[in-house]
Amino acid sequence: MSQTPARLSTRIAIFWTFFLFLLRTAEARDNSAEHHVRELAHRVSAELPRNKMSCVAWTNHEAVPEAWSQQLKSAFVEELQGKAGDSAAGTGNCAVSVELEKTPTQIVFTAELEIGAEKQHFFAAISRAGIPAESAGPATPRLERELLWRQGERILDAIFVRGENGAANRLIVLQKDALVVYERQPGEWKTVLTKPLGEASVTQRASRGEIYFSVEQPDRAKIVFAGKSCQTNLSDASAMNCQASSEAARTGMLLVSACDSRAWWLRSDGGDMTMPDHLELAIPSTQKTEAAVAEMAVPGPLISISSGEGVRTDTAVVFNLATGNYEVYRIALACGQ
Amino acid sequence: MRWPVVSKRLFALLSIFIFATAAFCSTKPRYGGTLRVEFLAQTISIDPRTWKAGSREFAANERLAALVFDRLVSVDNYGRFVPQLATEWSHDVAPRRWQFALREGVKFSDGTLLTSADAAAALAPLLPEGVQVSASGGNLIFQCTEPRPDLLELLASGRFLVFRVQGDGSLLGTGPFTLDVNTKLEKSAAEVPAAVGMSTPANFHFTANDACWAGRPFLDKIEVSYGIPPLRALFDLQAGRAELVELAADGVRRANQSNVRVWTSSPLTLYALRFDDAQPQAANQQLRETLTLSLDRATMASVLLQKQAEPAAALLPQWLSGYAFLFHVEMDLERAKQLRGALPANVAGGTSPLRLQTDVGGDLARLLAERVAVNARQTGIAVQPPSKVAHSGDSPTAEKADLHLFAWRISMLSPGEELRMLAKAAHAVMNAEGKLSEPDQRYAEEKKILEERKVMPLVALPDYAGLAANVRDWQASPWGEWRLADVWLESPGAQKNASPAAASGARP
Repeated sequence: MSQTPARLSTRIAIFWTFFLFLLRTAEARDNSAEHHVRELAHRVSAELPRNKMSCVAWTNHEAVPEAWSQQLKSAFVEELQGKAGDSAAGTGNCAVSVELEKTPTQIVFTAELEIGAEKQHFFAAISRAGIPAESAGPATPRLERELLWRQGERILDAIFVRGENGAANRLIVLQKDALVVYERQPGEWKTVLTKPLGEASVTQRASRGEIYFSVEQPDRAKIVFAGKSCQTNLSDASAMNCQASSEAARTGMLLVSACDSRAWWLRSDGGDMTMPDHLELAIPSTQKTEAAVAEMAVPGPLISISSGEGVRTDTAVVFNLATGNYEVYRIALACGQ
Repeated sequence: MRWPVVSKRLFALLSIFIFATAAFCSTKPRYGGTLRVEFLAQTISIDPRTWKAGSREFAANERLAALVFDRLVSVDNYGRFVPQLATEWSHDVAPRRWQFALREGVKFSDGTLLTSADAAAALAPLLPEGVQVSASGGNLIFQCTEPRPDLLELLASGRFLVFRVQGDGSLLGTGPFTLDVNTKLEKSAAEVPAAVGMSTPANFHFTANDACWAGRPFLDKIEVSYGIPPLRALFDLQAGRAELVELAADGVRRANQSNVRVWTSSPLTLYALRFDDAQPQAANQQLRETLTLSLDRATMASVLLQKQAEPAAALLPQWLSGYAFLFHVEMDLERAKQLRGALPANVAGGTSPLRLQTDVGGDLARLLAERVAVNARQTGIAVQPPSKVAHSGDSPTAEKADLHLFAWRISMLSPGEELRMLAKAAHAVMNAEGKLSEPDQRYAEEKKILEERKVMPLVALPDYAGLAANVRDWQASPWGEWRLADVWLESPGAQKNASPAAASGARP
């Protein structure tokens, strides 16, 4: 097939126009923190005298998690080295300093370039919403926890279900407006079912929602809301079957030791939404005041405790006060301590 | 490792405990009760159209209005935008055009549905210059003449509340509480002054809105009194006559000593000096520089305000701008004296003193003004502070003052908009009118204003409140939102974990 040179050049022009458009769009969309930090370094390096020996004093005023801060610092230094030749990361008397500060909605990066008596300032700002959370702290010896899931949207209850006979582990998460089932795939949780709650959606401020699950009926669950109880199938998108009920709120959950099959009562020490709770292990009793034999700090108020593996492990939902995320932990008892 | 099989007996035990009736300790909030709140403010208005930006009353107005009205969007303590009346939003690349989808099924307290036209009509007169809003189906469209990346911050704070104006001028809201009919304020009477020192302070009564789209609040009622003298507010809290009271900065120390639970916000109110451009002495750059260097802000904050304030070198506080630490103003008496020595004899005290006027009432402003005069005298500048009897902005000598001491209370989460309003109030001229969305631009503008020395920050004060021990889930924001819809009262005798001297909740 032959083409005239005019048509060919028109096509080439269209191709390049489109290519450049895509390039610009991609650039505009690269809204990542690293992109902003590199751009900041680029602006600083443009003012940095060529071949000037320099280092970067990087101060994170608790604006972002330290690990992430170091990652951003590396990107900044790398960009600066690329442009300025021989910059080095370090502290001490540096010509370039960067301060990370937190405002209500943003992280503000302030870069100061000091050349002689003159100081120049450059800024970059990113949204706080995209900041990764700090990793969880260590657990106490008796109770062990494993972070399974984290999200910003409110979680009322969650249940971890261990897969039997080669089946994948599942995580059932009850939100205010939907029940979501995740399945563990290599390296990630994958959504397998999202069931809108429809009229059962929780509109109360003190939103109560509890999942009741039996290992003998792994495809069914009962969801109890304030004033109603619903039956639902976990393997299809069928609507929930709800009826009025007045079931009492759950107060804790049994937890059985894998070592000696002894049963314990797992409960919260119960503060309000402004203070971190402790998970407490007590002798099962109808007395609320039974003393705790072990406890474990969690990073915020405890929202729910439930169990999806019989009572071999429990699942706890915690509102992390440091990050504002709802976190789902698998709680188990450690042997030998 | 295989886990041992759990016996049927354990399941029987499990069912007993699952259905036990005890509460999940006190994590489960309790519905009911009346929260009694006392404000120091002399006037209160819940009509956002009447609020004066930067005024000290703004905080009380906003806290009460937030009981009755909702916003399109809010910001949580983790910097995330949370849908309120708007469920989602998007903008063009610029971003000049924003689109918000309005939540469906939201009703005003009279049972009528909220429409996008209602929201547009409420917000239109409140928006800053260059931002227009219109209704389109179930959406709100904001069209801005300049890029507005800060529109969410703007709408999540300040006066940007959604309401409907009724035929009789009163305002209807969709919020968690309704203003009781017998205290309902009509448009013309939205601002009710309470005379200073009057024996019976004015009151508002709010009742829980059972049909609130976000769920009924925990409290049944909120009773609000305002125009309360600071000492009386503290005594009322201690005597159990109130559960939540505003505290004055000079009363915080006493409250702490009395083991009262005290909440403190980030610094929100700036006290600053400004030269009056109309007066000839204001034109003298060297005089302004001398005065700035003579001011001892650290002593003002630590001694005069008993460490309840921070020395301020910037207009916007660090928590809002993120760069305030770049501004430094150290007291330098030697340099100030040198500069003073080079001033002409007829400037600053040679023939007549600089007249200082306080544009804001209260003992604190008067004390600060007196301290400014003392500091200035140390470098040989004569400053005449206002007399104890006539120091407010409406004094007959107001127009003749060379210096004004003013207060500015931060009310918006958009640093650019806040700087613009503050600069306007301080009569400062800005270069980049309408272009303050980026930190570089804001810093450059603020630096220019401060280097001119016509505006001199002095100290920044937080808001304070005293709380009774039974107030739970107090989750006020660091920038001063009280969020009373989430507060609940613990029943007597069930109080646990209520530490007396520290109010948690404000975690930035």
